Amino acid sequence: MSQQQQKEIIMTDLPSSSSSSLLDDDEEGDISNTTAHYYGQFKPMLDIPTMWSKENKNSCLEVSNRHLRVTYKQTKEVSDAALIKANHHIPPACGIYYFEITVISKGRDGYIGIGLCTNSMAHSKLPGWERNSYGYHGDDGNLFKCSGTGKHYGPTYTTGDTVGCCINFVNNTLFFTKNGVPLGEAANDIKGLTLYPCVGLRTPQESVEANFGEKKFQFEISQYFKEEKQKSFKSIQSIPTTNEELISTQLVLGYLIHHGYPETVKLFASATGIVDDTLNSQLDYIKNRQTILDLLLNGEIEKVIIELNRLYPDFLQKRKDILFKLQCQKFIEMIKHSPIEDTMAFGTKELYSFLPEYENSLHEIFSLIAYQDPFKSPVAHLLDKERREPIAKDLNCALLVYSNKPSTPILERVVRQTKVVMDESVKKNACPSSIFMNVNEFLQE
Amino acid sequence: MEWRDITIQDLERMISKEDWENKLDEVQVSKNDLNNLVMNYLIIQGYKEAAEMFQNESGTKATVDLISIVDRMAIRSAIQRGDIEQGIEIVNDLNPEILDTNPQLYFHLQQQKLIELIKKGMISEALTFAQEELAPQCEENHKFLEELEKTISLLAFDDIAKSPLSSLVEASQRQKTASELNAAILVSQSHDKDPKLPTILKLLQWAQNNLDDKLTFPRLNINNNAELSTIDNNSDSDSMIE
Repeated sequence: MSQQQQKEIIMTDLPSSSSSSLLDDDEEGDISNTTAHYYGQFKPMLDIPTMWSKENKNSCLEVSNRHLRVTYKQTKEVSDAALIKANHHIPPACGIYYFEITVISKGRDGYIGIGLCTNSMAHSKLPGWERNSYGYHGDDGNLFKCSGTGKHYGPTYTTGDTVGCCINFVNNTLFFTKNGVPLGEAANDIKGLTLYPCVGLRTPQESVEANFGEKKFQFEISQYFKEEKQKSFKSIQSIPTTNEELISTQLVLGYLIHHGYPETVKLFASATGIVDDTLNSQLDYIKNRQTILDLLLNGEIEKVIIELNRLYPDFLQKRKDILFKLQCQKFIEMIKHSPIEDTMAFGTKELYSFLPEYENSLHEIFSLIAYQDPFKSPVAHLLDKERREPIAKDLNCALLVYSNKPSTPILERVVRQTKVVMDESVKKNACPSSIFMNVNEFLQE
Repeated sequence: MEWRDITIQDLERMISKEDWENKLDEVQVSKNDLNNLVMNYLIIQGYKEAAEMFQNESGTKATVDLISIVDRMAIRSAIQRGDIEQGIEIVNDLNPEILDTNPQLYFHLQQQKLIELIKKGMISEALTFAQEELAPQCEENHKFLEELEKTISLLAFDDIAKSPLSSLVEASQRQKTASELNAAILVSQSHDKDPKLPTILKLLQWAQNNLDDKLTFPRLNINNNAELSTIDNNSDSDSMIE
């Protein structure tokens, strides 16, 4: 099929309205300029408006196109204002919420309004006419704030135009856009209100279609998000420093010791002037630990056990779980390199002593013997070198616990706590700007 | 509170220590991210040798050319010992645009130089320098002019250290100028001027305070020796529920 043909077919699928060409370039799939993109990992935690409500509307309004399009149907001779709300209120935890409508048709008079209202708003009014509602109207470009009388605000809008409404819970402001251009602050008193996106229509055949963030917006919401995000981090950074500097140094040192980077520890300690009498013994300790872990990663399990028993005589007695893991790994290494008789002998002598407690893991390991070529067997993954890594990690933690060190470096603990607190803050609506403080992003940028 | 006073809302506001620990275990934190956090700290704070060694020992790539740390440290130490000329020279070798595009920073450096001249008692040099170098910069900038006037008035005091302007001649003034310059160099290399780790600590503190209003959870507090204490706010009510 030629491109031309393809295009014709697509065209016939579109609504016959004169404005249909407007929706031609809706780039579904490209979410880089949508709210969804910026909520990112938090999106599943947020109940945000996604379509027009089925019930919360005036009966003159007809909803179509996956509940995104609203059209005014004349039922009486005199037509009255008719309002529809979205399916959900906007949770302040989302920080910033934005939606757009495109005017499919201005109908008879184009008395169209976009805005926000509370759940109590009557369905026979246009946005902005009642208490706790805000609206930007197309016929005169006026802004209505909790009043039937509008004030001059922006340009008028009509068929083919896209207008948007942006609410910012961080600074409690609201503004509208027309065809991607922001029109300036419309309100700054929205704090504490439970608001729904809404549109109001008034004359027959008026029709608008909403984008609640599934598609690319006309307004550069991504830029706005980015700026708000930077502001949020700046405001954190500008909190007067107390002892973060001192703590940071200690956290870094502790981290370096934990993971065993002795030379870095020495240089860092001397550059920062940290005096610690125990540093030398800690460095020896790191070195021993590192030697053992290197042996383990090289598959020299026999030597690992000898070293452990030499340096920490009661460690393996206390940690049967670690001993078991090491012996299993030894068995696996023997499968690779030793005569089968020796391997069998080792298995029956050493591993059987762990029955019945570790029966299930033993079955899997022992099954290696059953295959002529274990490398091509269904349990071949046991022979991977990578299998040594988690054991090394467990051994490292066990040794730290053995010597009364935290099993996780405090630095890591701090990062984990920060992430969980941020997640919970979004879930619990604790602070609107939490959503911008994406710790992962901050660490990776 | 009495156990019978605990309502459903109270229970929703609480999270047990076990549940919290599970969340801490589940959250994704990669060693790579942590290594980068440490590297970022070493680099921005200018611990060059430690950063190099950390690169060797951990395999974490330095995000910046480590050589630039040397320059930054040299510049900082020049300013902090009062050798402004030397500092300006190294900056201009590094990137002449840094001072060209930062009139305020350049003014502050010149102002520091003036302060150093006054401190050394080189009065006529100070006056010539102020008239020839600083005054032209003030013509279009009212704020600069105010600062210049303030600095020049140092000359009026017999004992500067006892004057109301004494802060200008203190080491902290040099430190301030040096930090402004350090930050500008970092920005010019498109790096953050603040290390991330202290920001994370502030963020943690801030976020825990926010969440406190909505949820009772085990707070993490860190003392100056970077030792942790968790405050389990639940413990009282927990024991009562049992």
